[in-house]
Amino acid sequence: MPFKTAQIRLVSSHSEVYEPCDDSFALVDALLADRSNLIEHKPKFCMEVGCGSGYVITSLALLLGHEFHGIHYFATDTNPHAVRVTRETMEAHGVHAELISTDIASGLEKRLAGLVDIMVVNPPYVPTPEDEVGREGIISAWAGGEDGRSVIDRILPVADNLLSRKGWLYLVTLESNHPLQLCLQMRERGYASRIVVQRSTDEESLHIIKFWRNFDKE
Amino acid sequence: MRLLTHNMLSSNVKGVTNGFPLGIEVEKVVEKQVELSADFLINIFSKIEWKALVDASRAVGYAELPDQADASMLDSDEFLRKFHHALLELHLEEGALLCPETGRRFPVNKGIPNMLLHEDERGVSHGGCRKSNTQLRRIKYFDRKTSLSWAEQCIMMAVDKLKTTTSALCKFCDCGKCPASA
Repeated sequence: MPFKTAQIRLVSSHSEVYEPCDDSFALVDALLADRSNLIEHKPKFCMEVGCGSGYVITSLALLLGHEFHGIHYFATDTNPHAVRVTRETMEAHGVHAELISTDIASGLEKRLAGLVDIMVVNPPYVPTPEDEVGREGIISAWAGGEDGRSVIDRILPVADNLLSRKGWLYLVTLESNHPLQLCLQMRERGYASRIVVQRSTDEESLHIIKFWRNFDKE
Repeated sequence: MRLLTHNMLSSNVKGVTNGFPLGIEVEKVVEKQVELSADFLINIFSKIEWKALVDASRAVGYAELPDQADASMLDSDEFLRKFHHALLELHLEEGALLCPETGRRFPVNKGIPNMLLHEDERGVSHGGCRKSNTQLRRIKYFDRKTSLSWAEQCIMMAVDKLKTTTSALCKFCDCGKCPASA
């Protein structure tokens, strides 16, 4: 049976790129747990914002299938090293995504609006001093500013704009990002949400939240 | 970078009103065959800016697309094959994308367009970071360890300080609970 997730030994690396860690594994576990729903969802465009090493988008491409099924992948990162590493990781697994070095989805927001059926985001969620946010290199993989929310709060409106009517968003959050408050904020934008995976480690308590548009409430 | 992506990208330079379509500067184009999915092509057709795709495909050396296209042509296998080839099989590997309004050049290296803007083009301050990786890992660990209990830490710090001098406390704590901020 072919592997359904990316293999660590094939994941490329670079000193300035965040390596797959607990948070990445938790996100991929969430996707695996939701695999039958994802396949039934028949997405056309899938996207990862902040692809880092490429572990997550490669896993998504492996578990969903590829062009043969008419599924296309986009991945962005603000760290150009990360985008190159993602390309190598994807090539090593024989899958493809269209890659763009950009801030969140800058440049795609006009034309890709309403087309993304699956979006996965493992944002920089670690609470840090605000001036660490938006720096170059590996620090961009975790520096999240106050409550670790600075970048998350910028990503959510972009996600709302890019997601299709049937679009789903999988978001990694930390307890200190106030996930409940995030869910309530997204509810105001018309999204329902569910915690797909919850995981506590020595260091942090992670929630993977799935968001989808809730048409019942309209 | 596929021409599909070119069709989805606009210039993101601050103040640009119509940044689409981006011009193409070609250094190297590669062809990679992928299986055709008629479903995908039929679904995506209405979302594609046809003229931009025709111009882009000509820029990378493929002149087979008709100037005009409408949905009725999707019944033709030949049309689907050409549409598929232009949209998904031609990759701009090296070159650049050009903002139609400002001429700003977005380089494309190893098939990856770089849409990152300089500070003055986006008006948001992004400082550089020159710390070593090891230092950063340590900072990250420290932040993760402590961030969950920032308020507690604040109180602890206040209590510590209370042992020495109360006047210094007010600078550190505004939690509203501990003696320092009360």
